[in-house]
Amino acid sequence: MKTQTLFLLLAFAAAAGLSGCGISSGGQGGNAAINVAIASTPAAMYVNDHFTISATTNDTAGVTWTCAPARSCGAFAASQTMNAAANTYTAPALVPSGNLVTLTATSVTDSTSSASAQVTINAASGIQVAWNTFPSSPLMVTGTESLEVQVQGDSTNAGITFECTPVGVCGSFSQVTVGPPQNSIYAVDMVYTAPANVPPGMVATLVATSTADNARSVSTPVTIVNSISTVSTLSGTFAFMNRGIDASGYNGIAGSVILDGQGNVTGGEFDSADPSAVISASILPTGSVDINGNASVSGYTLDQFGHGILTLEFNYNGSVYEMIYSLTATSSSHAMLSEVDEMGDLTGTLDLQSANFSAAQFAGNYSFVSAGENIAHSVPMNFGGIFTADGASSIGPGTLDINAAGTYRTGPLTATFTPPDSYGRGTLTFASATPVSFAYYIVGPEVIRLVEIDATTAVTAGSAYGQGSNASVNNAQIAGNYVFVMHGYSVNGANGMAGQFVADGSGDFAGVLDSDDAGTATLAAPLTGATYSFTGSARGSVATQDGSFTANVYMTDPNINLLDPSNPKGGGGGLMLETDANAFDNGLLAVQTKGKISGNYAMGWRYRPGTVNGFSNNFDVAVTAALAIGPGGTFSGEGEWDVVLSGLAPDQPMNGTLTADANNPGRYTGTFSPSPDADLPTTYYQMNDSQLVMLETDPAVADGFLVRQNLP
Amino acid sequence: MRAIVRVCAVLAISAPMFASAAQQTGIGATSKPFRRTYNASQEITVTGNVRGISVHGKAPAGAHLLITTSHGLIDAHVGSFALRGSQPLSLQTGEQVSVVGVMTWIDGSPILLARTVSTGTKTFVIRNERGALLFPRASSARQLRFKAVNRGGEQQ
Repeated sequence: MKTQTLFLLLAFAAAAGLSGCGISSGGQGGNAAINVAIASTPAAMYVNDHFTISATTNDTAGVTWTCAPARSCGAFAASQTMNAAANTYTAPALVPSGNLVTLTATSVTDSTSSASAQVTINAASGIQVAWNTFPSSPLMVTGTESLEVQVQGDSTNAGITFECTPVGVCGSFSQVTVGPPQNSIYAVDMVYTAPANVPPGMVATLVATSTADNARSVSTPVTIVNSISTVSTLSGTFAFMNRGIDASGYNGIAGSVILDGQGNVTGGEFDSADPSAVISASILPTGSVDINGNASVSGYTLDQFGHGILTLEFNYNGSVYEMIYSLTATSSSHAMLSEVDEMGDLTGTLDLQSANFSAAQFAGNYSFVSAGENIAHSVPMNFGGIFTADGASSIGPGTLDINAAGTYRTGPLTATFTPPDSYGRGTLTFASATPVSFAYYIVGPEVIRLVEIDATTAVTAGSAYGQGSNASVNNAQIAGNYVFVMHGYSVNGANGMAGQFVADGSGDFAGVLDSDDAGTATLAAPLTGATYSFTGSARGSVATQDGSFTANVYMTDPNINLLDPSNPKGGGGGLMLETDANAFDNGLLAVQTKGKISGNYAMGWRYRPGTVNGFSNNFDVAVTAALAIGPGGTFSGEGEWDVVLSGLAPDQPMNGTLTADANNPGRYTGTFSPSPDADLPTTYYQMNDSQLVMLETDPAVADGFLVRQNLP
Repeated sequence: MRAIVRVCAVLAISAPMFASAAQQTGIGATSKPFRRTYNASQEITVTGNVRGISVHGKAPAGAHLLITTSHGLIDAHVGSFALRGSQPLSLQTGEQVSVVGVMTWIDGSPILLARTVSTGTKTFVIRNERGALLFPRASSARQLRFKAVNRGGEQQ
């Protein structure tokens, strides 16, 4: 009986093309009714290699696996398996004495019935495997990528085995081609096809393993996403507003542009202000003839990730000019913008406007903040306040707060405004001793974009939002969880801070914040003893215990989502204006809710004056990027980042990580890598399930937002 | 000489205060101001020779004017905008300068937050009296920030 079994196994091994080395039958003088046989083993392998091993047995309890010499023979993934079940054996890290290991499967029921195999263990092969090309990430479902792996030191030219996880839903490989070796190096090409559906976790991990030495492998994650947009996603009349600093000082631009859903611009106008020039101009439609006699290249792109480029061209004073923005859509009605031409790095927003503009849309109670520069003194100057518009031509009564580089003052606000034109543009003029006037663009009745155009007092840009049910607020109504973010300039330079707190409804709040003051980062600092005050108005105030930080808060309609005003989910919050003399920040407050962070997100991020990694740059760096965040907290995507005067760097790979702070739910630590060589330490605060604020916490100062994409 | 003595005195007085503050972790606790104040009443004048201007990753971010004095090197922070715009800070190595500012400690190092930098012929304003760094000064000429293009070939 035993002899028959042995012959059968040897015959099987020979037919399978295996060495048969050391394969033996079970039942070493024990219970004749129990048989054990090891199915197959390789004759030799390298240290750390692994292979799949199994044993056949008629023992319904299965077999146990052991090996010798003890402690230097490697390991099995499972110590016990059932009949014919696969197990994984991994060779030891060092060559054992005599170069041999003995692998043994023993009947569970009858320990005298067993089978053994011997395998020669060789020293490391010296084979090296590396990706020559990496896959794009994110990659669309069913998308294909031609990839190449380089193999070095494999004298057998055995090639590469490609696998991926999660098995069965991670995609497939085809057209695997092993190239000719040259100087002991050869390439293996293949085509990876993404799965038809987004896998769990949104990530497929591709693994390339040396066929000759399966201890030598490389892997790379690929985020798999569904197609979420085409150029038709953005169609209609959109208001835009951008601001930032360049070599001329502070800049603000607001305007309106018509996008036809096919990549063409069919009209528009804008206002631009900096300390040296204030202009208004019409935007040239795509293909129209400019004053040089050339066809305008105004237009836009939008790829499957909701990410693209917006180019606006215009005639002015005998010349043709252009501005170029990276844009990332969060919905068909909102996108983030960052300037990526050679002239500056402004950042801002693009929002679908309501139609049929009229003065009647500019009516009700508003809160506003407009940030920028005092022209005469070249220092930061921020406006904030509340007002009531009558829907005809008058604004007031209201309150105007000004922080001009540490000189804070407040007073009544009255103003007049002109009715909007066909792009929703009108002008707004304060009744003040010194001229203060704005161009405004109506996004909708409760969202107004502003850019100051008086050319004498200041250059500022910002927004006014309706107050809705928050027109009259007392302390008791400010209770619960909030996130805030502020940025601007302190006496040390650019700064930013973000945090979260719980307000008690009685004027006290406590929480945690991170800040970066010109490169001095403060992480997860407890915020205690702080106070707030609202006394029947949308305008209130906050202060730290020591009073070195004070700010006004202007509450907005709870139904308005400040980062994505067309988002029907709302959220509410307020605008913030620092009022002390120590820094000159502005920002926003948002009601905080917590939820799952996963899906496709748009990022708007701005690096502000400072230095980074030896690279000297004194102005803004702007990024928009479309990113996919998996439940594990890693994200990857593509975007543009631009340093002033260095121009456009299209479709740069970007990635990062988010790790929950167990001590402060809602706060995350991690990184953001706008380029492969820059893992920037970053703190994230979750505003809600679709929005996060981010703050860089190293010698550079940068901040931004992640907003979940909700694209058709 | 008198200026240097004053610098040393300010540093000696300030060091224990900032060392103590660094041990606090809470924001806004009364013993640690959250916001650093520029107090013009504490301004000093440092006179020396320009050793160089450095832009590095050490806080506070931006450009640092290094001044050699008879009592050592002074690190004067001139910020992110001083070298930009139409009125950039322009100095020669070895040139004698007088810097008015407030001495402080940042990340364990003494830093002079410069408000003005004067040479024998010119004064560059870096900060206002509240300590706010001035933004890059625009050219007096009416100059658009946009890129002029001519699709016919020539680009300006």
